Amino acid sequence: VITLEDRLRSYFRDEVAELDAADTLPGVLTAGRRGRRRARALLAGAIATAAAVALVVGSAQLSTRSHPRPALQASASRPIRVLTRTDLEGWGPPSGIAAVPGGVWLASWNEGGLLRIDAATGRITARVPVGQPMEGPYSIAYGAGSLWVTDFRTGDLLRLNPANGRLIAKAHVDGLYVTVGGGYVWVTTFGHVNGRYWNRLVKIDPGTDRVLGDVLVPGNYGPGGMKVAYTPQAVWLHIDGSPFAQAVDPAKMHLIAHVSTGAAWRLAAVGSRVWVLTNTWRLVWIDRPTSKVSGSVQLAEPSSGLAPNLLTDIATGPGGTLWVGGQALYLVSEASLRVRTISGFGAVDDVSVLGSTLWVQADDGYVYQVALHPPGTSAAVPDVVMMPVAAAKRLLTRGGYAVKVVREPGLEPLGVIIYENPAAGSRALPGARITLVVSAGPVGGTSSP
Amino acid sequence: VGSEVQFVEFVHARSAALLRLAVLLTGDVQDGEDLLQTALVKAYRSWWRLRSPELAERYVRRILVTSVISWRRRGSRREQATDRLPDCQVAGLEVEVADRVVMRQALRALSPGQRAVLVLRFFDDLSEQQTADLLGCSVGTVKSQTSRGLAALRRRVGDLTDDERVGREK
Repeated sequence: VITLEDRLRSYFRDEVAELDAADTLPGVLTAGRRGRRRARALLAGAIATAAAVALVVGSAQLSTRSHPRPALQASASRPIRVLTRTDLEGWGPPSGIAAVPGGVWLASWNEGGLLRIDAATGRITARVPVGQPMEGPYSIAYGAGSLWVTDFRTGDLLRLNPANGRLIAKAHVDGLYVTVGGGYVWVTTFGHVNGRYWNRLVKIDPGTDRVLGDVLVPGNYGPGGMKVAYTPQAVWLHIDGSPFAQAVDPAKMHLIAHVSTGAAWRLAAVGSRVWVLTNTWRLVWIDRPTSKVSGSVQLAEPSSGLAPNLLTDIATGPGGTLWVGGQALYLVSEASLRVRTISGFGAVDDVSVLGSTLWVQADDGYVYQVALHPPGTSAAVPDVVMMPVAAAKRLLTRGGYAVKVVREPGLEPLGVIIYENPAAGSRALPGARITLVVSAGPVGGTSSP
Repeated sequence: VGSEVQFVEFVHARSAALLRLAVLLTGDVQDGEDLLQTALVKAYRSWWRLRSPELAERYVRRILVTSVISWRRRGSRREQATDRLPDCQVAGLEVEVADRVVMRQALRALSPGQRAVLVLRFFDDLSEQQTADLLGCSVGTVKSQTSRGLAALRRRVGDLTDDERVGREK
């Protein structure tokens, strides 16, 4: 007896036995083109090297494992303070993060969903499915009061409530990367238009969720799609693998500039400047949509082989700072181009800044919320020695400091401030903790040891 | 994985097998080619996220399977292909060909999900667990879809012995 299952097996086998798969290469790939190496930027090691050679000015050591919250004392030499640390419990890996008021959203391509962490508690407060596992959200951005996510599975641009992830609207645009700027949402797409494949920039009005215009962008296609960053003068585009950036006039929606930058991994914009993280260990910046880059710095010489340590993400912070993820967290000063290595997070996958809060998604499976203090804003700690404790507390709290009181036996009269740490007159950043050491009276008195 | 060169290599190495799967999933060579093109373009767009050839293959197969299901669900024009006769009418092979026609039409009558489960189980020889992983559903769903699909096929083509098969073609 031939069972149905066996008949099915032989039917399937016979049905496709003579199929010829000669021409299945997608039309997106033109014949004879040389493959470009998509070296997912190898910069982390380079920055580290550069830092070791000349640039490093200091480093903030975080204790990540030993404390549930590595509560760091801010000081003049330590530009950051970790506020919360959230265990993703194996969720992920995230493929993008976006800081929003009161929290951060993480998108995971592999999980097919989003997750929100609350800034006040560090707890996960919402989970939203997008697409499906291995085919989930492609990019995520915050702006115009909403969270914007591209769903790779459906090609939809989703507009979500940043507080709870509820869907507000969606538009079918076949979107890949999304950013918000100048009052518009900018989405790049990749698809079939007029008989061939194109990269495309689409401009969307967040008020009506309508598409206002688009530009077809010539150039090679890259396997990762076209990255986008907004400045008022130009929407900057960088097609994966291509050696140049292209600028589109945000009002007229046509190409206005073409700048050689080298293949790029990420773009980040602040004000009218766009930063390009290139695959060749270079940090390039462009201030105007002309044909030349405004400046660049070679962070190190590219190594010959592919290194596993990559520069992964870039975000712009307050006070002319750039935060770069990689083998560690790197802080780059816009003015001096000095690089500081902030270890303790381990390798960093994604960074996002909103206001003076930096969110760091680290390779160790944790997400860190970090308070940023731009360099140069530290102030001298007021002298409160010998003041009454209540008055000293009032003064310091008003100055933005956190106050801790400890009692130590001493020869001074009971209740008098013996000394403060950091010492009066030393530099400390807003939010730094000042410890007041108060006399508990002579040894053997009423104090506990 | 990651570079375009690797993508081309991947397509060259795996497209024959993937095309066979696509054709069986759609039940039509042209539809299968279209489906595979669509899936490969999608894979290309997300290529840098696919960090190993195994992941890439798994991913493309998943796109094939899930897109064919939504394709059909939309009730597209492709449903019209159901009545098309095979183009291989060779004398002496009638019995075998007729058997294939019956099976082909019976499979087309199934829901795309049922058909996909049968293709994965009996062409790809995936286990129930592997099928469930690929489809993103539970093992229970795979089991029920398999048994429903087989039952529907059985109603149309039956379990045949060699004798019955010959007799039927008389």
